[in-house]
Amino acid sequence: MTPLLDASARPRMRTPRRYVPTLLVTPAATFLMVFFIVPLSMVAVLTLFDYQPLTRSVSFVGLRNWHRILTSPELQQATVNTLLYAVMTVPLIVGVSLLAALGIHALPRWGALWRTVYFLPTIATMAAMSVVWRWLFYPGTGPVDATIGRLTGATDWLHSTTLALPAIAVIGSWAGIGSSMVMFLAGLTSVPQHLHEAGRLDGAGPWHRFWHITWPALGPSTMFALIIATRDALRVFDQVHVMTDGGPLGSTETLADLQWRYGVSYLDIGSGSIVNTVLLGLVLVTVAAQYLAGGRRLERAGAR
Amino acid sequence: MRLKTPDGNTRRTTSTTHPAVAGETAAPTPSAVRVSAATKRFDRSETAALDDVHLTVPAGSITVLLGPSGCGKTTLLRCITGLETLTSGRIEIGGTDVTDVAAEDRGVAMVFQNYALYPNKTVLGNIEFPLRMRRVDRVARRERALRAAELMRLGELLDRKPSELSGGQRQRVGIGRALVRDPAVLVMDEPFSNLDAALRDTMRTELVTLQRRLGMTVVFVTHDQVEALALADQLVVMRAGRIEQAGPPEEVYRTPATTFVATFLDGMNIFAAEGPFESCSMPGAATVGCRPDHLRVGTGDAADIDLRGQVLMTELRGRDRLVHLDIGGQRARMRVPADNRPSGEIALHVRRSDLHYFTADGMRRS
Amino acid sequence: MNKTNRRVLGVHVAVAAGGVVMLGPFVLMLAGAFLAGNPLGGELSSRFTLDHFRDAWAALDWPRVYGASLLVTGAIFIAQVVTSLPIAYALARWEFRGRRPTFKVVLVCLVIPPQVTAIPIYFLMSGLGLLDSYSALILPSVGSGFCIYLFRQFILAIPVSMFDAARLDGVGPVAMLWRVVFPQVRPALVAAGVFSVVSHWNDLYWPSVMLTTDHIATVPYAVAGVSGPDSTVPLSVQLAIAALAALPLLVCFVLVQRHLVRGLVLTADGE
Repeated sequence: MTPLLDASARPRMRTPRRYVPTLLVTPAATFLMVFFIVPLSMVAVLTLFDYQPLTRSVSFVGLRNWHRILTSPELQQATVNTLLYAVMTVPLIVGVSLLAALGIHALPRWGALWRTVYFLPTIATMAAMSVVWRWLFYPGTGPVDATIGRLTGATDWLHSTTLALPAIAVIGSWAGIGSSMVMFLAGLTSVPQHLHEAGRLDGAGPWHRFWHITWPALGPSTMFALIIATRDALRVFDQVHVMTDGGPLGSTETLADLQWRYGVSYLDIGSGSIVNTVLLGLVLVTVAAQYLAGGRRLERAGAR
Repeated sequence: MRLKTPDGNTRRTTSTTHPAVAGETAAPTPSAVRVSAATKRFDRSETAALDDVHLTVPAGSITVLLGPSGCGKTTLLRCITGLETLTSGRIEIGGTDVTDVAAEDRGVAMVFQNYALYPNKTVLGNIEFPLRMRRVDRVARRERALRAAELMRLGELLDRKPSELSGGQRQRVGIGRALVRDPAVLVMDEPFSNLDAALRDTMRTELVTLQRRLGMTVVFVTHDQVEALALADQLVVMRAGRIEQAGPPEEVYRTPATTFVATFLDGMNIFAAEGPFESCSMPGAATVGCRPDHLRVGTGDAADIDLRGQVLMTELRGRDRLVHLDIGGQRARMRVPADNRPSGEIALHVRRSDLHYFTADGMRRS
Repeated sequence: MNKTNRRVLGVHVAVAAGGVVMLGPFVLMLAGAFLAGNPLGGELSSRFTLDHFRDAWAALDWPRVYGASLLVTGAIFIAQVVTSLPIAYALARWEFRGRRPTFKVVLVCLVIPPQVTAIPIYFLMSGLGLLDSYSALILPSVGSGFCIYLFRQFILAIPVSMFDAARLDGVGPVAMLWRVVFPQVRPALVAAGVFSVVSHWNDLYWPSVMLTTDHIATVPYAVAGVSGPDSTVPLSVQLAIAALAALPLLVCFVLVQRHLVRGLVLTADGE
């Protein structure tokens, strides 16, 4: 048989392997540097300056800003509010979404329908839904007051310094369940079916199968859900901005909203940056804690 | 550099490298592969995946690398291909040193265990692809791809996508894609391991026929000794990064160089050189080996060694039966015709000439 | 009814109850927007009307607002894919010095709240004269730790033999991106697309920082502008505005949702 003779002629232009990683990494790295890392490092510096919008002059005031802000009741309250909000929403979100995912996964049909239903609140523009929720929480005639209010006496949520933050938390949880649930669903579908079958034959009931088979396999999903939920909780802004504007009396003022108020509204960059730093510190600490507790799984997840 | 093609036209290449290195512009004669002092360490680890390996693959032959998992056979294969680089040593293809040449320029084609076909291309698209990448013009490309497809008997399936093919068909596409490049060396990494036993048999025969016809140089990796014995012109048994024995399959089978090769290839029985075997041992021999088919039932004559064994269980193997015995405290196996069903304590013998002697570290004593 | 059936029924009921809570606000929103009467007074007639929607449509320059949102989210997503796929590929399949630190940096960017970088970026944009422009809305979001992480996980699931085969076939290292990586990561693209488009379409914070006028207002920004606590717009009309703001995205999502979970399951289909 006549051998197949190759007649390829044109020389190939190919990037030398040495330069390839640099080429691949550079575009994204540039954006990440310019818009994340560099601003991040600048934030610490900005805290030391004072900016006068009227005269557009910047002056160095050193640690005076820090002293003023750290001792201010507003920052302390905002920090407490933010943490309380996180404590209220994160367990609720992760817990309910896990249950929802387990339930939907167990149903033989209509999984797609329920997935969509539970995910819709996440998709809905929070700014728009805040309008709706504000009506829902309207004193007296709003549906919440008309039902729960009448049963428990908890009324006029948005004007109460004790109930306003929980109201915001309810809305945040409502909107946050969807994304966690999808992550759990993805994790559940990757548990091999034959493990469950083996468990059933071994005599394990549904609870035991959950605890010994499903739960360990959900490690990476739970980790991811926790981190995302915490991150979103700590930087809550939309509902606060639209519904309560931080009120009443600062009881719903969160760090993100405070920072916007200082930095963008008052153009007080020093104070805004300090709030920023506090927020960042909070995020890094919680994420680091979560990562140390179970972060190994994040890297392993998905690797063959 | 101008090349004259069989139909009389001339094509120009601008390659200034040696034809064998560029691979694609090589003359049709397949090339030999020579591996010298090859060592490969991963990530500065203590154990070497390959430890001072020397191997010659004669042009136009099938060399099979055989061994248990982790023995280094796949690593050696990947080093020959260029997908891994050696820590030290040399690789030559067709007489040219390719140790520092990139994989895509070595003229080596590879067939993978899990086929690695492009899922969104048709069969024809998959086979044509390497030629597209090398900028072969459309007409020549199509012609060569069709010839390769015909060679692999894929004529009816050209428009199908891989997901519509069976395992055997997919692998034939994989082989066709490798062959269409007219490579200097064809390298195969356990290509039939994912197929069922009957199909494996068929593919094996097809491969040998193909190789004889095309005269290709093939390096084939497997962990299946039956496959290895059937395919090899040269059989290379590896363990822990080293070559235990290399040679024609008959030679490796009949005279294993180490106890490892002996037990790996045919489950040779290895006995300590004491008790009934003491009388025949050689100086320096610590163990004595004999094949399962060389243990015979009954008492032998004067020249033979007589043994007594307790039958533990028997396994039907089709034409014969494998009998597991206990001989003086050591486990052994023997083959008898399928109709025999020995049980209890039996007498057996073995001819002295059928014995193999090994030293304490497992090397053969001749 | 045996035990299994009872259990399944119980699950159905529980899931449905949760579903009611999830959908409740939407139903109420539509009720308030489509029915005549003042919801605040607690009286909603059952008369169906489009008046509120007519007022809502007049209250904002909707075509312009939708257009702005479309442009911004589209540009952001495309830029994210174009920059994130290469680096994800490098992190997944290439050995290079600084790979681990780069990955850690990506993880850090994944969790940083946008608020933290807002002020410095504000000044950067201000200095460049880009405040209140599309660039200010688009550029800062192009670098996405989330996209990079997601794509990396997907690329890790592609068998190494695919890359080896392509390499021996003559595919160059950069060409791998569109010959091997891109065809296999489509589910991840859908998942990333949904998350990216949704989060940027709905983003109120960033426009609040970068925009000083209304001329390129995106949907949330425009809505917030007319719906604050002291707005004079009647509630029914506000609800209609909310509906006009939220519905397009919801509808699009329902059409695309089939691919979402498959995308998040971090294994690529075999062949």
